[in-house]
Formats: sequence, C-alpha cells, structure tokens
Amino acid sequence: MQVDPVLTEIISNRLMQIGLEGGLVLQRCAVSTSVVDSRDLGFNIADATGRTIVYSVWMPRHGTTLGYMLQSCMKRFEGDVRPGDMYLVNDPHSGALHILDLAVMAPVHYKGELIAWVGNATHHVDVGAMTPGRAPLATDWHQEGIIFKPTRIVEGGKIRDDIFGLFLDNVRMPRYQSLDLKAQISANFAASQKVIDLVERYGVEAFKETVESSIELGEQQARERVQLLEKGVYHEVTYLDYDKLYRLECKLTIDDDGLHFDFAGTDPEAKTFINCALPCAVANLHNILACQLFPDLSVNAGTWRLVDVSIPSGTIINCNPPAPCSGASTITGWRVQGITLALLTKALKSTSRSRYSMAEWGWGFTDVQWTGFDQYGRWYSLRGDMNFHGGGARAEVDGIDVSNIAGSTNTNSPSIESYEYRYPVLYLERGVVPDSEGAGQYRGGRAGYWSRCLYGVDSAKDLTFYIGRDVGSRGVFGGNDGTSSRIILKRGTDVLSRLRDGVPLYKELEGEEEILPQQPSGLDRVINSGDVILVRGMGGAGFGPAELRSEELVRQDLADGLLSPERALEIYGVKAE
Amino acid sequence: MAADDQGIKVKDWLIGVDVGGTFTDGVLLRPGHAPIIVKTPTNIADPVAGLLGCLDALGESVSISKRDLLARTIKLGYGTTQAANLIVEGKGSKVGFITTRGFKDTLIIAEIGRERIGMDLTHSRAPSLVPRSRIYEVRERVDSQGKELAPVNMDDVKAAMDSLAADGVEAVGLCFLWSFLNSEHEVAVAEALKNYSNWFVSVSHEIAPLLGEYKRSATTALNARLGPLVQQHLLSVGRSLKAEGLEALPLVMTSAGGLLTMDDAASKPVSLLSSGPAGGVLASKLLAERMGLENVLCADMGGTTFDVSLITEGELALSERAEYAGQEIFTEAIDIVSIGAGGGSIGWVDHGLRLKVGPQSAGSDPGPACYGHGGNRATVTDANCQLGRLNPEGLAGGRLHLDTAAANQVLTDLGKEVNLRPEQTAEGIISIVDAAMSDAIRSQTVAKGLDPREYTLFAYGGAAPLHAASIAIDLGIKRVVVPLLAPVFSAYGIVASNIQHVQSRSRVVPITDFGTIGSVFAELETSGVQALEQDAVPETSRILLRTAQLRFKGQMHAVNVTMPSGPVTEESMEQLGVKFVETYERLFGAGTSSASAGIEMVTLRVYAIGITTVPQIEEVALNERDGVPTGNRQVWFKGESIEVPTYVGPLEPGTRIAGPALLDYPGQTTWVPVDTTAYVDQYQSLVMTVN
Repeated sequence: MQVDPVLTEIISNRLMQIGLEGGLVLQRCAVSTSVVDSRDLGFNIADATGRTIVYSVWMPRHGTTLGYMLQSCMKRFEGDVRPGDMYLVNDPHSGALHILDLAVMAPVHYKGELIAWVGNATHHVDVGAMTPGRAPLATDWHQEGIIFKPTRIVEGGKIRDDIFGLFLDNVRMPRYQSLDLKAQISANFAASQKVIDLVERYGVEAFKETVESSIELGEQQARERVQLLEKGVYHEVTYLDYDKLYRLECKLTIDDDGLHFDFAGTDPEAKTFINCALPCAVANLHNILACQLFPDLSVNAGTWRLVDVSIPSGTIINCNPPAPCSGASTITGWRVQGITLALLTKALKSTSRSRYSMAEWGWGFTDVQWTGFDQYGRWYSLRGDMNFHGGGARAEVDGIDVSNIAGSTNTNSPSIESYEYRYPVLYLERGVVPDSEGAGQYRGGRAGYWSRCLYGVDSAKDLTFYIGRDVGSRGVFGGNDGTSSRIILKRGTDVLSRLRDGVPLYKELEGEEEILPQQPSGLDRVINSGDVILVRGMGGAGFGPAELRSEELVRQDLADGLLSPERALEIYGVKAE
Repeated sequence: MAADDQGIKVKDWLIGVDVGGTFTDGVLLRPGHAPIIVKTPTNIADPVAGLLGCLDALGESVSISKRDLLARTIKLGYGTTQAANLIVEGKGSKVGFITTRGFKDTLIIAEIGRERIGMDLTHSRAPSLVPRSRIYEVRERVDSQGKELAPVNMDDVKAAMDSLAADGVEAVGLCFLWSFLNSEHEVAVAEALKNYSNWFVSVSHEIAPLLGEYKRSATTALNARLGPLVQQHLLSVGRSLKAEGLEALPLVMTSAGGLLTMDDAASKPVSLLSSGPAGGVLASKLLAERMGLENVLCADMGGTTFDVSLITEGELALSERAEYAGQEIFTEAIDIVSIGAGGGSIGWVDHGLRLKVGPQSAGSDPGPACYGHGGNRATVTDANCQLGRLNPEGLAGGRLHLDTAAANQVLTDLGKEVNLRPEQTAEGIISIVDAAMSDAIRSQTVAKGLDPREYTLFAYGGAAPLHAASIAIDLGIKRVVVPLLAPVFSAYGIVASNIQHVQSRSRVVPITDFGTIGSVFAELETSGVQALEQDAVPETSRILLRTAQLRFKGQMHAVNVTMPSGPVTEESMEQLGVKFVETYERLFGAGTSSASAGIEMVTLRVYAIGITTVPQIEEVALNERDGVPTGNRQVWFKGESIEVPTYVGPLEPGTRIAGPALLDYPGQTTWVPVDTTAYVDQYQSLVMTVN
C-alpha cells in the first residue's frame, strides 16, 4: 500500500503535539514540585495493540515503563476494557519505575472500537511507606507503601471514589496528591478527546496507516543507526556500593538484528531497597540509548525492535517480590545507565559517530533529608541537591561541570535563596570542586559541593543515605576515574557565632568530623544547631590519556582556578606560570 | 503626496522605525494623510547609517529632506535587534563580576539547567557569562528576612577592584545573596565601583530585584556584557538624530511593549532583547481595542520563524523569564512563542515515507529557489510560487521577480522521492507547514485552557496573509484580520506606544502583611514617578498600574493579578485574595485552589506609564461595493487547477470580495480561500470571514 506522505506526516505531528499537550495539562493542574518544577513525568500514546507511537515527550525513561504498564493493563483487563475506563498502576513488577511513580492509563474508543491508548506517569512525594518517600531501611516491599497492580480508577468516565479514597487514605500528603492524581486523569481525558477528534477528522484508516508507517520509520531509522556501530561482543562489569558492594555485569552483542544485552553474572537481589524490577532496568537502558544513540530520531515501538534485553530473574536488576525496590529509580537504575553507556561507548569508538563515545558520568545519589518543625511551628521536610555530579568526558569535548547523571535530561537545581526562604537553614557555600575531575585528554566535569547548617531552630531529624562513596565514575581509553561522593558531618562548630566576620566556609570550622555511611544505621540521627553538613557529588570520568591533553586546555583550567598547579604538573605535566 | 511648503512648522508627525535582520521598516504618520511605509536594507556594519537611510526614504516619499522631516516630528520610536544580535553573534564587552563569598560558582553551575542543554549527551552547557577567573568573592551576608549577618568587607571589595582593573574589564556585574530584600550592600559596593573607575556597572537589585540568585546574576551579567556597546549605539542614535534636526526625545522600544528614552534604555539593555516583535503585538492590541475585540491571536510569519502571541480579554500575555545565550534570565517581556516555520523553511523526504518541512531554513541567502539567488532546495515560498499564489511579477514591491521555473524544478525533484507531482508536493508542503502553525497556536491556547475559536487571528509579517485563512479554518477561527500596515506592523506599534517603566520586586510575604506590601508598592511607585519626571512627562500624563504575583503557600503556580491603586489595607488585600482564588480556579480548574494554606505575595510590580502623542486609528467612510478583479492567476487548490481572480491593493474601504481570491498589496499577498469572504473595513484592514 502506498502511504500518503503528506497526511501521515500531518497526523504524526499532531500525535506528537497531543502527547506534549497531555503533559502540559498534567503540569498545569498538578501542584507538587516533582511534576511542576522538576517535570518528572512522561506521556505516551500507543495504538490499540499496545505499540508505543509517542514515546514519553518528557523524561525519556517513563516512555518505556508506560509501555510495560500498558501491557499489564491489557493483560489484567483482557476482554473487559470498556470505553470511559482508566487504570491506576504503581506496582514495579507491572511496569512502574518504582512504587512512587504512579501511572494512569486510558483506552481510547472511537465509535465503540478501541483505537488507541494514552497514559502518563509522574513521581508522587509519598505512597505511605515506613518512612516518607523512599524507604532506605525497608527489608521487604510491604514496607514501601501501597501497591496498585492495574486497578480501575475511572469507570464510565467517572472517578471511582472508593479507589481514589483508598489511595488518599494511604499517603502522607493527601491534599496535594489528590490534585496531582486528578491532574493525571484530566491529562488523559484531554488527550483521549484530541485523539478522537483527530480520527474523526482524518478517518480511522489514515490513523492506522500513520501508526504503521511511523513504526516502520522508527525501525528503519534505528536500524541504520545500529548498522553504523561496530559489530561484535562487548563486555562490562560495574559496581554499586550501599550496605555492601554489588556487582552488575553485562554482555552486549551487536549483529545484523540489533543490540542484545545480557546481564548474566549480575549479583542476586539485595535485602534492602536498592533493587529494581525488570521494567525499571530496561527503562534506564532505553534512556541511555535515547540520549546517546538516538537523540536526533523519533523513538517509538519500532525503535525498540532493534533492542533486546535479558536479565536473570532474582538479581538486583530483576528482583522478585517481596524484595524491596523503592530506591530503584535513582540507584540501581542509574547503574544500568552507567553500564549501558560504557558498552555503547566501546561500540561507537571507531565509527562515524565516535564523538558520542564517552566516559562515565557521575552517578551517586546524595540524599540528605532533614525533618522537623521550623521557628513558626510548621512541619517541614528538606532534602537538597542530590545530584551534584560532573558529566563524563566526551570523545571530543570535556565533561559538563555539575551536570547531574547522564540520563537525567531535565533537571534543575533550586536557588540557595529558595532553600533559605522555605527552610530553617543557612548555606555556607555551594560551588564546583576543584581537582575532582577524572583526568584525561578530555577531562570529566567537576563535581559540585554544598554545605549548610540549621538556622533559627535548634535541631532536626536526619535521614541521609547515598551511594557512590566507595566507587567513582570510571575513565575510558586511558582516562582517569572521577572522585567519588562524600557526605561529611562536622559536629558542634561555632559557625553561628562567627557570622559577623562573614559566613565561614566548612573547611574553616573546627568540630568532630564523621564521614557518613551510605546506609543509615537507624532513624535516630539528630542534627543540632552548630552542626554543619558537607555534601560532595561525584566527579565525571576522563576520556583518553591525560598526557595527551592539550596544554592550552590545561592552562585554561588553571586560569579558571579549578585545577591546582600541583595537579597540573603531576597529572598533565604542565607547569603553572 | 508632496509636503505642504507653507513654512508651517507644526510638530505633529510621528515616525516608527523597526530595524530587522534583513530589512528596516519605517512608517510615517501625519494627521489627515495616509500613512507612508518604506522598507530599506538593514545596514549591519553601520546601524546608525541604516536608520538614517530609512529616514531619507521616508522623507523622499513625501518629497522633503530628512532634516525637514525630523523638524516636523514630535515623536520618533525606534526598535532595534542590536542587543539580540550581539548575543547571537557571541559579542559583548569584557565583564568582571562580584558576588557573595562561598557562591562564586553560581554562574558556572547555572542551576544545572539540563533542559537548556538538551537530550543529546554530546551537548554542553553554554559557557558562563563571565569567565570564572574574573568572578570575585566578597565577605558579606544577609539572611532570608533581609537582616544583615555580616557587613560588607571593604578590603575584599578593594582587592576585587584592583584585580578587575588589572584584568582590564569594561563592565562589572554585581550580585549578592538576598540583595532584592536588602540592597544596602550592593549600593555600597556599586558606589565604590563607580568611584574607582568608569566601568559600566550593572547591579542586580536594579536590573532584576527578584528571588533566585542564579537568574538574577545571569541577568545582571548579561546586562553588563551588552551594556557598553548598546549604550554607545543608543547614545549615538540620539546624537545623530539631534544633529539631523530632531527636537523631540527619541524613544526606544522594550521587550515589555513600552518606550524608554535612550538614556534609560542604555542602562538596561537586557530589556531590549525582543524590541521589534513586541511592536507588532502592541499594534495588534491598539487595533483590537479600536475594533472592540477582546481576544486576539497575533501571528507574525516572516522568512524563518512564525511568532505567536495572545491578547486575552484585552490583556497582553506577559512573561518574566526568557532564555538567552543559553542562560535563563529575568526579563519583563510580551510572551511571544516562536517556531521554525517561515517562507524559507525547507521541504525534505524522510526515508521515502514522509514529506517533512523544516526546521532547516534557506534564510535570505540563498533563499528560496524562486528568488533566483542559487537556492536549490524546495521551500515554503517555492511551494506558494508553484501553486500560483504569489504574484510572479514581484515581491517586496516589485524589486524581486520570481523565477517560477526554478521553483518548479526543485519541487519536481523533491516530488520524485515520494511519487508526487510538483503541484502535489507544493500543496503537501503548504498543508504541513499550515498544520505546524496551527499546532503552535494550539500549544499557546488549548494547552493553557483557552479556546482558539474565541479569538480573532491577526496576520502580519510578509508571509502570514498567505497562510492565515487556512490556519483559521483548521482551528475553527471565524475571523482573520490583515491590518493595512501589516508589512510594517512592528514599526507602527513602536511609534504607537507610550513611555513605560516597569518596576518589580520579589517580596515573599503573606498577603495579610499589608504593611510590608504597602511600603514596597510605595517605594516602587516613587521610583516610577521619578523616572517619569526625568522623562519630562507632565503630571497629568502619568499613570501608575500595580500588579501582584500571588500563590498558595507551598504551591508552585503563581498567578498575576492587577491591584487597585490607593492605600493597601487589610480590606483591599482580602479583596485581592478573593480575586486571586477566582483567577487561579479559572486557570487551573475548579477545586485546585487551597486557600486554607494561606496566600502569599511573590512579586510586586508597578508600571509607570507616561502618555505620549500616539497615532489615532482613523475611521474611514465605507463605500459598500463588490471588488473588481484586475486579473487572474491559475491556482492549484485541493488537487485541481482553478482560475482565481486577483485584486491590487490597497482596496477602497467597504469593498467586499468572495473567495477564492488573491489580493496583492505592496509587500504581501493575501490568500482568500473558497468559502471565505474578504471585506475592507472602516480601519482599512482586510477582514476575512470564514463562512
């Protein structure tokens, strides 16, 4: 059949626009920071058979988990998908990135026929775990919050009060979260109607023709891109530190059929919340492919025909209930991103797209959480910049200073003023860590750091966890590793009595220092007035041997004050003038 | 029309000039006469000469010298892309920066800002606006209540100034934490800087007194970088115009849609970044008011971009942030969204399956194939040419003859890739680009809960009148207006504006704190009045408007509401709260407000407006009649060739023409599709109604 090259282009552009508008409706109606400010959301459109046509217009990895969740919905409601239905899902084994990411999926019917699906996912601040948000001390998944396998939350176009109420009764911020969840439902209503209008205008046949040709185009474009890669077998092992050291292993085979990832050799599932279920692992892998291999292509179900992923069951990246996994999205999931990037880097190295080969980006997750009552008696929960990592060096250009992890493509860091306005804290400093880069012909991006103390209150409860204290980002092709993450607490300083001479920096203060462990030993750590916390992200790794770095670039780093003269001489062999 | 040589030197002429990338548009308005419009080439190397050239052309049109022209002018409004161009070209002055100790890297980290970097992992963040080696820290600190914790350490300041002098900087930016709450430290250091050297000094609490130290720093640094060059340019424009005989004070257009004197604008070049486009939106607002229209979609389509802005219930859509030079900055501006669709957008085929248009553009060099300057890719303009919608005898007032054979060739070549004839390919390109423009409008309306069918579409800029009717039909819009001055609409909007100083301040307090709110408004109004006094605006011509940005405590969405003038009392703030809840629920849906959380003030603004002489859009007598075609062209429409009558404008008011028709005006052609009627109204606009 000859496809209409004009009509299918118009319909395809319109579908993309509907996905975008769906996400905008969600942002407009929601109230939580994660949706509105961090844009941690995805919006997908799929055809009646569940093939993704519009892949997460917002954060890439949600595109994959939405695909999994749609399959779960179709399976659970097989033969019972009715017009006006919507399904709520947050079960990681049904496809959610982790339990805190709630999705709502909606079938779209036209004249009684199921023609498409729309769906969106976003991060909720709480799902009723043993601790607010994630549960770093969980030992099984029932401690991590309320679980929804696909559940009919909208029936005949009306919200089911029983299910909606069940959700609200089980979360800590019901007022905000009810608006967020309603926003998700509204976004689906809006997008469904637009898909129906589109089909009404151009006809079901033209719509179906567009779906087929879009998927075909997605596959063709991806195939050509994969053809550029060097065929062969690539192998990587990488590590993750939390309560102990965990190992991830992957073999990538590239042949005429595409990319085959095999994670045999990866450690068995952990007893703590760092695990991820299979969909989360695959989504993070896809996220890197979308940014490193296909950033200029439109990604859809056709793209992923070229990619298959095999992960042994019962491992940290394909765990089974009741293994806890609420930390998945930012911990083990990010290690999957790291290993995928390392494998692709090898396959890209001697191709026409070699500039896409790169060293590892910083990846830790430094989550400092202080809770308590402020000077006005209001309860607060303060975290902070959790991802002040340097980017990995690229084959032709240095890594980005303080970039966040590789796949986190829409992150921002709030201003110091917004932290100090909202919370009883005073920041001493926030900046770039000199000499933290993995050296190389192209160097990694430097880590960032910040330090703060309580201000206006006497104490707060602390629940701090992180990863990447003992393992840093790894250099490639002779490049060096970046520095690892650190969280250090200095107890009982005189910071507040010294403000008059200018706020002292962390290093100028006297006090008892403790490098915090990655996993908190319990829930009883307290921060007192005068205690200062210093958080340092991970430096990005280097690309190529440091001795090949151009003297001009070394001199620039010296001039910027981000490279010490000693290190310039020792690592790069350049003597400061 | 010849000038009257009676020696009468009444000053009542108005001139608007808008310097664009390729053309400089000029408009001359004389009471009782038809407006004069000219388009002259932009002189990038010597912008002042370019401006004077445009004035020469205006003078020639009325057969008088530039000197006589200027002598009769009471107001000259100027729109300039200079500041925006400097950014695009990466030019600017050598800048140093001073900030609070511990926070030297604010401009380096730039809030991480991965959205600005994009999804591609080989992309990098835009370089810091100031190299790290020229950023100096000073011991000082204020807390979130505005209380001083540490005084300014003047030894640190002295050391920084010595280093800046040694660095040889031309401009200095200054931003301390919390300076928008307590500006004493910045004031003291700015004073020291000015005493030390003749640097251009840009101070954050003056440039952008808003919460968020990165955006405030970036705005201040960018202002410093543009400062010396923009200042030099504007002052030289002012001097040249005076030397050429202009006695009136020349005014320059800001992104916010108001005019400033050259001196004021020179101290705040970041406020000029979208000087030109703002003019077109403002002109739309004036015409809409005259026509009694509340809701207008302003669509400007040129060679490379399609710009959309909204007027809703008579109010302009405003924004306070924008991205320039890869940085996010605070700037009060008319909210204009731009997509890469214009006459130069290139058509191409993806894998033999899809015909696509843009985002690549042929620009003005080589331009579309039919311009005959060596363009060999099929563009939107070539498609219009192929379909017979353009007058082959000439665009741009006959200066450009169209090479229809070249257009046919590139479209034939492109069509072969998808088995389409050149006419089908051309029609495909037009449908795709029209749909993309419709989508741009949808994302400005539907996605914000607004219904485009409640709007009238205003189409201006060279290419818009050809596409406007099709876009309107697609969106269910019933009425399209092509203003008489459409080809120079921005220049018209510029001279039709008033002086406007925008004073803003972040002050996050509960709205029950009416004492603080009242005193901040009083401060802002005092400085607004001072600015108007400096501009010599008489007291009776001054207007002060207040707006407040409010939000529910703990929530993210803030909403702008206008505030009454007069004393700020408990009662007036209660009323404001009620108004805010109404506005909020209208925007975000019933049930979304959470008044129990309490309402807080985020940003306070005062618009200090100085009324100046503005042109009146005159009503002309209507002489109802049917239009008489002057010829016809074969036009390809929905798969067949039809004969379409053509008309040469400007047409008499009261003329009615049924589509299909093509109206050739100087500088533009309007396409009136089948089932659409065009009518020249009492303001001489072409009003198309979709049946």
